[in-house]
Amino acid sequence: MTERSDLELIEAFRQGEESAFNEIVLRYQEKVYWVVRRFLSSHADADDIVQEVFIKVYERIREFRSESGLYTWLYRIAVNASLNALRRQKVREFFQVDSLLEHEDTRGHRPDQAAEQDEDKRLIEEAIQRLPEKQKAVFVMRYQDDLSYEEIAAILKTSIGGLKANYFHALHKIEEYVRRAHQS
Amino acid sequence: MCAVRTNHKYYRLLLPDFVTGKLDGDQREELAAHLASCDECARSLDELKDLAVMLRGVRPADPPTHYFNTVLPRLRERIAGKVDRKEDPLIARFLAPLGALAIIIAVLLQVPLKKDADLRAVLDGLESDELAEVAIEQPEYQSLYLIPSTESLASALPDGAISQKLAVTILTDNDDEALLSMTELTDDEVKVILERMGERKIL
Repeated sequence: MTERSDLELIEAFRQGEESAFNEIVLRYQEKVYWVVRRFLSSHADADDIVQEVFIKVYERIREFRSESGLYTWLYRIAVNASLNALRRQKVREFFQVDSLLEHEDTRGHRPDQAAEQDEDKRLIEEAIQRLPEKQKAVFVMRYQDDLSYEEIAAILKTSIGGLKANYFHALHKIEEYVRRAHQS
Repeated sequence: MCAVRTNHKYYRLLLPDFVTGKLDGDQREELAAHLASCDECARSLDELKDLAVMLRGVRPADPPTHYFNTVLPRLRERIAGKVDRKEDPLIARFLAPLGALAIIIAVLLQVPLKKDADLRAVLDGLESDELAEVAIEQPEYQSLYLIPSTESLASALPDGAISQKLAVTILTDNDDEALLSMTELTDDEVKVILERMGERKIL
């Protein structure tokens, strides 16, 4: 049987075929997960946001306009949900709620696992998690997801010049973090 | 010092794409010419080059095995739960505004909080549903708002639209009890609360 296109699935779902939504989830869950996971180092946090993203999709699929592809739309929702989650994390950290847990999540692994990992990679992951929200968003979208500046600007609603500066500072901050860790 | 100083910033911002291999041919040549005459950019390039090598292969740990088999069933469960909750007008109507109300009262009353100015900056960036979520999810957080004075409460919620007792209950009780307390509110009281939140751009 031929696989239905995204638009056919959306249309079927709009017509009341619930299983079409299942197909959309199964088709894109992995991609969405990795988008979110690059923002949030913890798997548990990423899992929450993946659920949140698909619930939004379920609720808002009628708003979807076919000018952009379904994945572009999903990607935008995933990025925005991830950024919101980062802000909520900031609030939690502010009040030091679950601070121990947060600390562990930020590192993304247990000490015994860390010992097994390559030191530079571990430091880079830490440095990425410590980037300011905007710089982190640009780093994830530009370096890891290979989006153009125009695409990122559309998602973050900001200027391309500002994005380039954010990307530049993000890379330099990561480099500086790793270098200082080596020196100390 | 750069020989072509006027374009220095432009070229400097090309460096990240250059070291990560995302620059097209023309820009690469332009940048190479600039690098030959700009010590600052050349130094910056040296720093970023090593990083670019280290960045390769950096990726978060894989999720647990079979994780992707669990996403859809849990999602379906949550969607079914949401549909059920939507059928309960009490929750749909009060729960999110309740959390946002807790936050706005704290801000309005200027309850002394640690690093208050920083908190405001963080809160300013949140949407109303996020505010509500923070307030609802974190009883520890709510305890910071404990029982304001009669005067400050009256100032936050004028015209006696909501009683102090009720507001304190909302702020201090757990969700279920607070929700129960909300049944005491009249439509007018709810309207006033929502209007107050609207004025503060919380809703």
